[in-house]
Amino acid sequence: MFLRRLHRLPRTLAFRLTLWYASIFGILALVAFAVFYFLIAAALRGQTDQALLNEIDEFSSLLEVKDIDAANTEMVLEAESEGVHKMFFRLLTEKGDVMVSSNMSSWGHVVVPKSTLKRLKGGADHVFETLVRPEDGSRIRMVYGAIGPGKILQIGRLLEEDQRFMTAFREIFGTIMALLMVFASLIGWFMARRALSGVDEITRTAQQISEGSFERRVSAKSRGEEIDRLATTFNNMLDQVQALVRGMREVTDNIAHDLRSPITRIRGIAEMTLLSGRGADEFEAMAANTIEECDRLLGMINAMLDISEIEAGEGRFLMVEVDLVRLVRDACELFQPIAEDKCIDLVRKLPDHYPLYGDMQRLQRVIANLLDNALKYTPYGGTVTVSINGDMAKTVISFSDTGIGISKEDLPHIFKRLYRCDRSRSQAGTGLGLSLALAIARSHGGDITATSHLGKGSTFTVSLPRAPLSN
Amino acid sequence: MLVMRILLIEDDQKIASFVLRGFRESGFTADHAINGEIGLHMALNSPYDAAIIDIMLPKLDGLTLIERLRSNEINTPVIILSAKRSIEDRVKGLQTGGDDYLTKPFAFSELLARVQALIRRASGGSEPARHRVGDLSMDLITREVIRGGRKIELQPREFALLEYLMRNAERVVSKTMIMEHVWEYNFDPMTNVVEARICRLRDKIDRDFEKKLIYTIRGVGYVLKEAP
Repeated sequence: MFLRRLHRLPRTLAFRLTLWYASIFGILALVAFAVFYFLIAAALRGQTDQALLNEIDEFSSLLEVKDIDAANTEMVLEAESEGVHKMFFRLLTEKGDVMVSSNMSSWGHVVVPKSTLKRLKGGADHVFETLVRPEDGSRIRMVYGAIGPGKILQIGRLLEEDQRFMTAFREIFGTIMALLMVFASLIGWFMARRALSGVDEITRTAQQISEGSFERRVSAKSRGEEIDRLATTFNNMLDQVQALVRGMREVTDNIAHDLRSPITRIRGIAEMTLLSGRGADEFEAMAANTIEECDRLLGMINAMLDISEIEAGEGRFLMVEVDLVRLVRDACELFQPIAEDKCIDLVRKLPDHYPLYGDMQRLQRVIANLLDNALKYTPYGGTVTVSINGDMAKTVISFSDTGIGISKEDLPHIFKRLYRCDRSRSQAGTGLGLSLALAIARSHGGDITATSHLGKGSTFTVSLPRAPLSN
Repeated sequence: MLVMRILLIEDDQKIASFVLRGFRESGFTADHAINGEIGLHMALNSPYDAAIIDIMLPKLDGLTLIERLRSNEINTPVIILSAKRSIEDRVKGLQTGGDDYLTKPFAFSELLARVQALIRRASGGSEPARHRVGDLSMDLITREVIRGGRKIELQPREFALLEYLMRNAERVVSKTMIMEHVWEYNFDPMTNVVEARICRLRDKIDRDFEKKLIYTIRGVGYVLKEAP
C-alpha cells in the first residue's frame, strides 16, 4: 500500500506543485546569490587595485625627491611589514630588466610579459594583471606602473585573504541554500496539500457515492474560492442526478402500473371468454377488446419513446415554414364533432396567417394534445378558446377552457410523465400528452405554461421563438 | 383479375402465420421464407407481385437482401417490416430500395392496404374519376355524392373521408390509416375523433337508407361495402 502510494507520488498534483515551487525558489535564490557574489568579488578587487595604485603613486612621489636606493629600502621595508611571501615590489627598466626589488624568494616564477611592456610603452599609465601560482593555485594581483622616465614599478600582492573570504561566503551560502530548499519544499508540500485537500475530499465523496452511498455530499467549508466552487458544483450535480434518478424511478413505477392495468383487463377478459364463452359473438368481442387494449398500450409505449427521443435531441426534425393558423384550424376542425357532442363552444381567435419555422408533425401533436385536453376536462356547455398572438420575438398559442381546473397541489406536476390527478384518472388518456407537448415545445426552443383556477378553468400557453432555430 | 402472389420473408413463425392467413383470406397466393437466404433464393427465382421483408433475419439481413435483389434488377415492390421506428431507420430502409416501411407491431389491415397500394402503383393503374359502391356514387371531378338518386351534401373533410373509404371499398381501414390519409396526422391522437367523424358520415350516408354501407369492425377499423 505504502509502496504503491510512493510509486504514484511523482504523478500527484501536490508533488508536482511542490517541485515547481521548490525549483522556482531555488533558481531565484541562486540568481540572487550569483549577483551578490560577483558584486562582492568586484568590490574586493576594486579595493585591492586601489591600494596597489596608491602604492604606485607613493613610490612615484618618493622617486621624485629621493634616489633609487632610498626607494629600494622603502620597498624592502614595506614588503617585510606585509610579509615577504604576501607582497613584493620590483623596479624595472623599460625593457623589463630588474633594477631593484624587495625580497623575491617567494616570487621566483613571476616573469614580465612583453605585451605588458608594450602597452606601457604605448602610453598606458598602469596595467593590472592576475596570475595563478601553479604550486597552490593561489592568485596574485599585480600592477605595473610607469613612474618617471624609463622606470616601471611592479607590485604584486597575494589575494589569499580575499579568496578565503569568498570561499567562506560560498560555503555559508551553500549551507543556507540547502536548508532553504528543504524548507521551501516543505512549505510547498504543505501549501499544495492544503490547497488540494478539498479535492481529496471530493474524490473520497465521489468514491463513497460510487460504492452506493448516494446521500453523501461534500461538506461546505471555506477552502478557497475555487475549491469551494468545485464542491458546490459537485453537490449541485449530485442533487440533479439524484432528482433525475428519483424521477426515473417514479416514471418506471408509473409505467409498471399503467401497463399492468390493461394487461390485467386483457388477461381477465380472455380468461372469462375461454371459461364461459358460448358463442362466436363473445369471442369476437374479446378479440376486439384485446386489439383496443393493445393499441392503447402501444400508443403509450410509442409516446414514451417519442418523449425520450425528443428530450434526448435524437430523431430528425423537419424544420420547415408552416402556417400555424392552418394547423390550428385543422385541429379545431378535427375536434369540432367532439366539441359539438358536448355542446362546447370552440372559439377561435386567429389571424389570417401565421408563418412559423417548425416541425409540422410535432407541432400538430402539441396542438392536438392541448385541444384534446381542453375539451376533455370541460363539462357540457362550456367554452374552449384557442388564440394565436405574437410579436417579433415569440409566438404564443393559448388554449383556455371553462373546465374543472387543476388544484394548486397538482399544477406543478401535470407535465410529469404519466402523472394524473385523481380527477383525471377516470378520463381516457395515456397521461403522456402534456409531457410530450412540453418536450416538443422545448425542442423548438419554446415552453408551455399552465395557469388554473379550480372549478373555473385552465389556460395552457405555448410559447415558441419566432426566429428559426439554428440547428 | 389475376391472383396476386406475394412473398413473406419473416423468421417469427407466429407473425408469419397470421400474415399468411390474412393474405390468403384476402385472395392472395402467399409464400413464406423463414430466413434471408431462402428468401433471396425465392425472390430471385420466381416472380412476385410484392415482397414483405423483415429487417432482422437470420443468415442474411433484410437490408442486404433488398440490396441484392435490386442489384439483380428484381424490381418487385418491397415493404420493410421492422421493430425500429426512428425516422433514420425508415430513411435507410427506403434508400436501400424498399418501397414502404411498416413498424411492428402493425395492424394487418394496414399491411394489406399498403401492399395493395404498392401493387396498384407498380402496375401503373390510373386513378379513377368516379367511385361506385352499390347505389352510392362519387364523382371526383364535380365532387358530387349521390345515393339512390339523392344528392348528399358533405363538408370537405367528410368528402375526403368518404373518398378514402370508397377507394378502399371492401377493405378494412384502421383509425390510424384514416388519420394519416384524411387529416395528415402521422400519429394516433388517442381520442375518439375518428369515431365521431364516422358517426356523422353515417348520419348522412346510411341513416335514410335501409341498406347500410359503412360498417365498424370493432378494434380494427371501418369498412365500406355493399351488404351481401
